[in-house]
Amino acid sequence: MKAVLVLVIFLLTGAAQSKADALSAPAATTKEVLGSCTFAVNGTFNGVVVNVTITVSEVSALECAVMKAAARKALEPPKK
Amino acid sequence: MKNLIPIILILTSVDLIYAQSKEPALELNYTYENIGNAERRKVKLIFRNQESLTSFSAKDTAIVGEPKDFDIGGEDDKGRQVYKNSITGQVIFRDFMPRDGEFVPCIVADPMKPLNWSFSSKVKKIGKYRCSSASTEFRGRKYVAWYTEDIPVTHGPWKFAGLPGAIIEVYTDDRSHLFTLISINSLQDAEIKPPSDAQPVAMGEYVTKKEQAVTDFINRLAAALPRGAEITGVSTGDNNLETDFSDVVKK
Repeated sequence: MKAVLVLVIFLLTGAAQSKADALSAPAATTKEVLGSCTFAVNGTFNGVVVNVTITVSEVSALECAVMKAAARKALEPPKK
Repeated sequence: MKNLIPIILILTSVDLIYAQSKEPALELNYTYENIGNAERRKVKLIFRNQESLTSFSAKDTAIVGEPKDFDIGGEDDKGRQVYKNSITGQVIFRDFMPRDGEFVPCIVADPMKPLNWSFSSKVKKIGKYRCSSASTEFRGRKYVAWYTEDIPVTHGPWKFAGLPGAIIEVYTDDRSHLFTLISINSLQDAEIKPPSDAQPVAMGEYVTKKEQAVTDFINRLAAALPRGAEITGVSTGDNNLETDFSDVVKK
């Protein structure tokens, strides 16, 4: 019975310690991977077919997504 | 009695003018399909004597084509119109022109020459009409028309005119654009007059602005991107009925 109690205390203190370690550990840093961002936009402007491919080099995936959104914004139809 | 003669003459001519204006017009209803633009519209041609007015309805939104990232254009409730008068030779149209990031209606007098039709010996029956064929080229496209002399209408939809009977169908040789006659009605009180409720614009300016707008649009797109962004493969085709304005603007 004593041996079992010692084992439980050991396990509990061990678990608590590992949790504390996890909390006090410094945040993991991820290095952003920069690459080429290429996307195409296709459509018509006043009946004229426009197909463009846009390429931006040395950007992150997040920046690439922002650029796609900016391109879409630029393509919003003009107000009547 | 001598005094009465001019009065009688005046009354007779007034009566003749009145009778002429009362002559019923014919309303020819077409569908227009533009395959590249996934566009279908109703087109109404009202014709009396040597005068006609074509009106395009709004785009039928039920037609869905290839998915596009954008489809930018503009029009109002009145839409596009083409007025033709074979006596004066006038062709006056109402269209929409890009200006300051908007599409505004404009009225343009088109200096186009009468279409030069080549008649073929081909005949076919479309519905109840015996039709003959003719072809022509106009501003970058080749057209084949099937017309019937059973209906004495010398104007077709849009800018088509000069055939000895009503156009039953007319299409481009690649079938990318197609007008098909659906119905004919007689109208007692139709008014046929040139469109006038927009700013008049010279044909040259209309063509130049139309072409410049595409470049401006691509530049606007480029400006929205960060420095260093590269835009490539700007390939342009043209889904408009008219693609070559070299008869109007020399390059």
